[in-house]
Amino acid sequence: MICLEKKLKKILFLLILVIVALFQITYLESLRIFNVKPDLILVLLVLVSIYFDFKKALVLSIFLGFLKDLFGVDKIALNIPLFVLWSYLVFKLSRKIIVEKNFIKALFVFLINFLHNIIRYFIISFLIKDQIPIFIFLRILILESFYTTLVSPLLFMGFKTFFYK
Amino acid sequence: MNLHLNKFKKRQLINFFYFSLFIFILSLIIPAFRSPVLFILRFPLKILTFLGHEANGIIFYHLNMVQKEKLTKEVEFLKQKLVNLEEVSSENKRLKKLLSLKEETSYKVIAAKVIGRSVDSWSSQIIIDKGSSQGIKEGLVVISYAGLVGRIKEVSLSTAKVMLLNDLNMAVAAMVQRSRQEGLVSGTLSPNLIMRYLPKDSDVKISDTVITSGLTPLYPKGLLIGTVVQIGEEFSGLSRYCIIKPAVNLSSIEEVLIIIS
Repeated sequence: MICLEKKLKKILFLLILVIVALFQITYLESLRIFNVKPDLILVLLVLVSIYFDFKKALVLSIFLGFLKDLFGVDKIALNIPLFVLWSYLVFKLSRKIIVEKNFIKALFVFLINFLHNIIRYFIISFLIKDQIPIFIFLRILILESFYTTLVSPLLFMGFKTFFYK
Repeated sequence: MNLHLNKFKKRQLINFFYFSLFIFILSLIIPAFRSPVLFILRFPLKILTFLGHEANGIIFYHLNMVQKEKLTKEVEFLKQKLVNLEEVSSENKRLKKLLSLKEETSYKVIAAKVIGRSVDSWSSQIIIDKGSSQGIKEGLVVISYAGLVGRIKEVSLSTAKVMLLNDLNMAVAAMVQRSRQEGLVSGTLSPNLIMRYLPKDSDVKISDTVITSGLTPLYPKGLLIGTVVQIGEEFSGLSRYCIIKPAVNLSSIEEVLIIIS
């Protein structure tokens, strides 16, 4: 019975991840500030890497990367390898630093968002040869990182409620 | 002991290699999965869009009411204007006949609803509920009643992704309607567009209307792009640019038309 409940919770959690991804491409559009919107999928990646064991976090990071690449238009699915890398980084860091406070988790979100966008920029500019003007890049990089960080505590609360109540 | 440690490290390295290879292959094949998965997800997307639309209607009830009154007045005014334009149009037809010009046929379009938008801030796109089964092909031009919207980027069986005008990868050959000054309009990932490669002495003024020039065969000539809101000089000092406010509100567009022929 408990096993079944656990399985159901797992399926429900995967469903929630899909719903959050669907939210990302529908309702979140109305929350754009300076034409930038928060990256909820990245916040989820940080959360699963902090709270789950390494294997689960790795599988979920591939799943989240897949969801993000699915709705994107990039010629190569860049999010999957990058998400795996961030998941590993967050997992290692979260085992060395106490991450119970929301402030620390938000800091993780900021760091990962910042790194993700920088690496993505370099890959797109140098490998795929899609040039992004530097001013536009900096505007989106800074605004998106701050915006995602500010929104992330809402997801932290939702995550805690789902797993601990 | 040392041998065991070496074996363990070797096994770890092999595992790491296989995992990296798996991720690399996955990155390459994921774009091929987009079409079938989007086909499955189109129903929840449609439901979410519908719910959002209804919620919007309820939340902004008063605003909608005021807007309706304003629009009703505008419709009356436009009806009057249409009558005048019909007169001009028939006159135009007569004159064209006189000049033996080949009359342009009107576009054949397919209407589609917007069911999704960009996943991040690095691209500007929409997902529409029409795909290859309805005759949509990659590269087709997307418009709305107000003007040019973008171009079809990816097509699946029942959905398609449209790259909007303000995406960084968009470039449209355009011209200022009044002075016929040509330039290239591209996106900036902000609500406004930029028109580049204008000569230093180009005749461009604020509030000028910008339309497609038809220089590239992709976009038919005369599609409304927007109006000039700012004019500036490029860093080099050799040319000018102007900022254009798109005629279509790209962030809140709900229905589009795809020109199929």
